[in-house]
Amino acid sequence: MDSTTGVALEAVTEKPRGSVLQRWWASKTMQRFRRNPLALTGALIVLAFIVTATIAPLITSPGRNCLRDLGLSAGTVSYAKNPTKAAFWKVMFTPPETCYAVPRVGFSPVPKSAAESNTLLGTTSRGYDIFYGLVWGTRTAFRIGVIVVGVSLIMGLLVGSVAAYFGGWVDSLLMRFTDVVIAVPALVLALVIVTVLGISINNLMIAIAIVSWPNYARVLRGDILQVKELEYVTSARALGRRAPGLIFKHILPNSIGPLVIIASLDIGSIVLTAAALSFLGLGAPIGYADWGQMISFAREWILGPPGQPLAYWYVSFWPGLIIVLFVLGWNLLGDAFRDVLDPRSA
Amino acid sequence: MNKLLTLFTALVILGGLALAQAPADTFVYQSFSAGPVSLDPVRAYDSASGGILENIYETLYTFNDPAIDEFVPALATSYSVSEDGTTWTFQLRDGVQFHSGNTMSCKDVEYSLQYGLVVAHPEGAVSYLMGGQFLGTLADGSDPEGYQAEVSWEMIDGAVECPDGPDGLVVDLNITAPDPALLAILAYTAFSVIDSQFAIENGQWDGTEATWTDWIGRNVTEEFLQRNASGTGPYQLVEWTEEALVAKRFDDYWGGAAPIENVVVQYVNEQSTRTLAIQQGDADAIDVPERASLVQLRGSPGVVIFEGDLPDTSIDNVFFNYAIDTSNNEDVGSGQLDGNGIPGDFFTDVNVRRGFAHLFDHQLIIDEIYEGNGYVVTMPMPAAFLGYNPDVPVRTLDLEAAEQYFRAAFGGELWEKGFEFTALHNAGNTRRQTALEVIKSNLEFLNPKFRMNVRGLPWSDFLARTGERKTPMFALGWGADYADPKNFINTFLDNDGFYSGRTSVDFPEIQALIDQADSIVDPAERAFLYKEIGILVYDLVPILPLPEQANYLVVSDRLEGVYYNPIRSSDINFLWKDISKN
Amino acid sequence: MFVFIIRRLSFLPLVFFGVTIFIVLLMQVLSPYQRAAAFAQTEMQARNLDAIIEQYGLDDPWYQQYGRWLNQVRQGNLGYSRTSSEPVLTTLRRRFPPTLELALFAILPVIGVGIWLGTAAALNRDKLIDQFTRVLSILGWSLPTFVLGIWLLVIFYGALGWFEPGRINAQNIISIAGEGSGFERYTGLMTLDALLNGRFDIFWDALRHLVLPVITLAVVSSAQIMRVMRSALLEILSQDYVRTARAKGLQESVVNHKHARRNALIPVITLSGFVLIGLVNGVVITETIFNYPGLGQWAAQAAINLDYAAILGFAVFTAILVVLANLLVDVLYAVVDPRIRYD
Repeated sequence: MDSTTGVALEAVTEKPRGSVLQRWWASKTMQRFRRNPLALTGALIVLAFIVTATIAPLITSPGRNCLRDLGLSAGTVSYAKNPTKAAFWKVMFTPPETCYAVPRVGFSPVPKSAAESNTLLGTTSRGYDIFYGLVWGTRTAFRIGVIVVGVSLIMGLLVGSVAAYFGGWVDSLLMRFTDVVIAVPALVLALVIVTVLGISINNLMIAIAIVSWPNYARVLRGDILQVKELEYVTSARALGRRAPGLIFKHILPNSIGPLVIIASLDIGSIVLTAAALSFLGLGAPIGYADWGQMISFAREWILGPPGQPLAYWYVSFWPGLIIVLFVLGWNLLGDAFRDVLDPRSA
Repeated sequence: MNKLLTLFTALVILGGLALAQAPADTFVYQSFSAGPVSLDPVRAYDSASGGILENIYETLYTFNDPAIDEFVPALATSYSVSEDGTTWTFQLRDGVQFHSGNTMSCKDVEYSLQYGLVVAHPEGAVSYLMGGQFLGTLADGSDPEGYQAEVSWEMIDGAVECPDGPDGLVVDLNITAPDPALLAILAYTAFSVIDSQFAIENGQWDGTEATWTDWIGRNVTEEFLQRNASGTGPYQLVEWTEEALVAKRFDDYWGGAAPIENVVVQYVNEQSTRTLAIQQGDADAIDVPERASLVQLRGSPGVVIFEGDLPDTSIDNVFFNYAIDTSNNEDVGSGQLDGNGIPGDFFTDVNVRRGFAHLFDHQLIIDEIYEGNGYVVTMPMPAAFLGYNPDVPVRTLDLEAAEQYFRAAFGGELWEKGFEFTALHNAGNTRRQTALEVIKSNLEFLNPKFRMNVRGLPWSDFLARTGERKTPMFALGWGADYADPKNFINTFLDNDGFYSGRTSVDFPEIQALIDQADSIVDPAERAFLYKEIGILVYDLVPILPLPEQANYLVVSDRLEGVYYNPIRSSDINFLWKDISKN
Repeated sequence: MFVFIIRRLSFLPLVFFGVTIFIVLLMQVLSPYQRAAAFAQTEMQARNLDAIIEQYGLDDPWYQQYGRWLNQVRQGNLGYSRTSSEPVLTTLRRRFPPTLELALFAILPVIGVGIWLGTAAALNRDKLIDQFTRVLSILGWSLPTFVLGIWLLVIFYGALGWFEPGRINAQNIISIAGEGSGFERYTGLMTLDALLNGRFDIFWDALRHLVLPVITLAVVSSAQIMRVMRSALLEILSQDYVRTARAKGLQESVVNHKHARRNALIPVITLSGFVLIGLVNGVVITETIFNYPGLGQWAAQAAINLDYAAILGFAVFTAILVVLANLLVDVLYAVVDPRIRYD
């Protein structure tokens, strides 16, 4: 937590020069970041995932329900990959939910290798195309990550700023409440919430947001309390500006930047929690493009036929690898950011 | 680094210790079920429970394994039937000991059969299989007052009598009408002979008129016999936990002590665990509910797969619930015909059922799930049984026909509004799951407003939920209790049948044929009537029979004496006492 | 120190009431029927929910229900679990020891490897071991338990056949089954009970079954501890009093051990509270993968079955457990950190 308040101070005291982007790129922070090979690796990995998510429809062939909902037939399948057609833009930006349903190559409980099933990475048991599931699962992952981060940030902002602004018993009450939420293991709490709300991907997101906000509330509260003491705020207060205005005009804009960075670096761990719940069967319905579910198929196919112990390696390997890479990318990025933003590690 | 190396070495050493085989005096069977529902014979009615009971308890006569319709003396040594066919007199075996040390006599047989009739547990088999013969009613104890109105103590008392006194070795069974299947039915585990002294001393029903009404419909899973057993069988219960049931040889067994001393039935959820266990010799027999898993077993040294001509006597169906309890039910969505759920009478529209029937792909199941070793079932009973009609057409995948029927359903409203519901299967049963998923896949393609979720539940939970009539559609089956069409047709389609409590099935035309078939004994006439029922099954689609497969059995090559009797309750289809191990 | 502990103790009821109020509020999302499951004690009751709704006033405002529910919890009634077909409390009692055993075994490598590698890295900053540790920790940190668990199973069970899932193997289940076996379950921890009974074969077997789940559980947490230990030690090594000690001519190992390492433990202890939470999260997944009969496996099954009573009971139990464990951490903290002693 200490390093994050350091972030806030640094951001606040930075002197303006040049455009925001130039300033950011030329900043010491970024220079150090660019020199760090691990950080660059992380950035590249994350970038690769963003690209994959964006072009998902271009590198996969949609299933029949997806085609139907795009208004395409067997003869017009290629329209989905043709920028001059409406279907292309639809599937790129507002794909129907059915496009997230992983096409099945068959129903056989036995996984099929790439060659047997004529797919890129093979199929899981019951015929789900691994490649399609992983590629579209990237979209699911980002959707979960971004929405959950957004929602929990807003919750954190609300609680944190109210606590810091009012102080006194309001502050104590809210912060103790925060402590309580932090005290309960996140996965357990999310598990409870999903069960009670009903098993679905939206409820999964709600549950993870509910368990993720307390950190942001704490950080923001700390920042506000520190910024409150800074000179220009005290002078603004001396000039008779009212407190809510102060929070929104002066304090929040300064605290929020670093907080957004911290929060967005949490996408990795949030997607991980979501995948863990999905793995247990508490997320998307069966057959939805979702990494956690993809790897849960592997549980029945740990063993190969006699003499070929690793015959079904692809069922656990690919989904596992993708999840690990995704988390690794964000962790490398996060690690580097924390390192370069922390003045003490200079 | 050194420490890592040490750690790794330690792992290797630990791993090396793994290769110990199950000892020769122990038979280890890994079952896929979550364990028995009950060890009380009058309550148990599932293969996991029956598979234990048939080894711990015994009946008067039993199957001449591996025949499904020949019988040999067990606790009785002979029997005779009165001229009018309503009194069956059994001569009991002398000197048979229970596990407790008590000696079996007529009072035990009397107690056991009467206990079953008293409890008349709605989820047990006694009322269902023998209520009609003994008491003239199929009523069960779900409504104790209603049961008392139909059944008196005198009726129960008179059903089983000891002409030579309670300690004598003669028992009379008095039934209301002749029944050619009586011996077959009495061989079922629900009619096991319980140690009456052991039961009474430990707080089970005391066997008297004074308390019988307290026990009607009683939830006996909370009573003593749920987890404790003193039978006459070749094995006695040692311990039953969530993970395993342990039994040991009963050395004073009247038929001579069994070759194998210890039996462990482990309840192992994961196929891969079971597969590896038999490959490594940790298990001697395993359940392989999915044929696809045989891929991992074929060619394993030490593992024998019995395949080929092993006819199955079980039938799986997709069931429709005709009167869904929509209160407090997450599986029916809104519970209305508003696009977000289904009403309680959703499946009473024949067009809905026909539509669903045309969404199912029989051949796909045979090809993908049975690896081609299966056949289409035209009506819900084993093809080998009397009255099976192979000439009935079968509705199979036809999207145009399905669309036509769904458009006609609910006066066209259904097609416009759409619906959503959840169908259930027992978790781990891929055949049932896939059947539902095939329907789901085609349904959702047919109309984007049609949504069907498929959910797997653990066995006991699944049974409880369907039993509460909350499940709109579910995939479940029936294994033969005895080899007669009645055991299937009545079970599935009779409005008093076993499944009526789950589906509220009620088709007057079919019911008339069932009643008629029940009232006669001539095989040819009965066969004709059952074939007629097959035609109605096609037309009305009261139920969707799933394709069947040739069975298989996976055991260790150290086992000897393995046979296949599909009428046995256990999923491994043989008795523990008949095998030995080297 | 006592003042400190007492102050921390006062946090305990806060968490308890906080969590329970939260749970009861959450329960309001459910229908009264679904809520009723949390009050039933037997299968019979669980089938007759109308009576329970009436008896416990499940249609009343939530704060009234809260009072009644709390009263039930006080009497030890956490409801009836459909998943395990018995009262929730019974299941909790039965399934807690295996989970505790797993967690205890996992803590050893977490603390050991974490602190050892973290120290080694800090003392050899920017050398090979430091780089190695950093990469290792990021990798470990990025390995989700469910991926690692599956991969370990594929290799060590599927391919090599060394470690099977479960708790002990079939022969041992037989040999300790029933009262006649003479095997006393003193603690419910299989390894400890085996030792107490003098059954070394069972001890080894239980240990063997623990290897993969323990590794799965430990990897993520040790990676975290490793990172914190490293950076804390680095910070302290650069501080004045350490430099002074060094300048005084004290031996390097004494400086490192007596002055630096001990102080670096403070943030590590703080973190071990989080590690514990991580372990509780981890057992749900790990036990599911390894078919290990603990609380986590039960909770995961209960969640899928929508077994509300079980899930709520599990949440209350976990919350209490975590609070108690955090208390322990705080006490440790007070022992290690000299500043707190004068508080």
